[in-house]
Amino acid sequence: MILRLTAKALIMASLVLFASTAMAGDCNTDLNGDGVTNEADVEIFQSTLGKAEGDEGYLAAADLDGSRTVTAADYGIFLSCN
Amino acid sequence: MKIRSMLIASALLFSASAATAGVSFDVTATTTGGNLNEVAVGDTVTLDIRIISTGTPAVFGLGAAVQGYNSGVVTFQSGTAVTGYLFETCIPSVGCFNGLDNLSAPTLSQANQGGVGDFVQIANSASLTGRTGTGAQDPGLNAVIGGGDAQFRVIFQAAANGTTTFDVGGNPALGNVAILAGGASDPITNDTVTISVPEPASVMLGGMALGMTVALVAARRRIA
Repeated sequence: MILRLTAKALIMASLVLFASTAMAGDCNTDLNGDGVTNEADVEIFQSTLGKAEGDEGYLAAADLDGSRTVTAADYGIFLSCN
Repeated sequence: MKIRSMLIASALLFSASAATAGVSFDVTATTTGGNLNEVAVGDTVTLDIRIISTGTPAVFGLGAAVQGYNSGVVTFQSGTAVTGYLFETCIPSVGCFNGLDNLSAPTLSQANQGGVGDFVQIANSASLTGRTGTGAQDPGLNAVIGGGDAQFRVIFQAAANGTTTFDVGGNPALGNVAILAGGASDPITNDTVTISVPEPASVMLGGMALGMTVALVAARRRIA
């Protein structure tokens, strides 16, 4: 019984850790890599908004939902991260 | 108990509606053929589009596209868009202020995405400041404030027989959403237009059937 509970707790803890790691990865909004997310990063986001993978100016780091196109939905994630 | 449940439900409904921006698109379609149900191959179909919003809550970002059409039936010709919309202040003869910049403007082009097909992105915006304009006074492509002219004009040409539907703003998977404070994503109320490019034979048959009906009615009247 105790073993089962411990196993469940371990699985839950792993899931929480995995989820938080994944979310932290999605929330990398420091697009110019200067250590902070600010207006400069929004300007970079605006410059790549609407660009798809393969297009000139496409910035994979701004494609926060991984759809291979930078859309308004990515901007929603960008704002929710900050 | 029931009253308490109803109160809670209505409070939830109120908060849900308060969080909805209510951005929507309105499409008016015209064709050089005159009738959207009898478009001939070679005719052009023009979509004149305007954007409106309830104004609150503020909109921070926006994406919208014309999509869903069958490129085998119509081919994209050209598109133009205004450089801003949902302005909070518009003063006739001076200008409009505090709107969302349209990063897709002024010239629109067609793109393709797997699972979606061809589409024409008409609006793309991302702002640090939320905008509360309703769009009622927004200038259209003719730059007249409050004139009601289209803000987006997309032109297609009928290429082959068939029926196809243009959907404006209706695909959240394509980023057709309004972004609210804190990044909340709000679906857009889309608008659709369907056109038909019938076989010339079926148009002729329809005309013949109409002619025969008219002739029959006339003959009956003569007999009576």
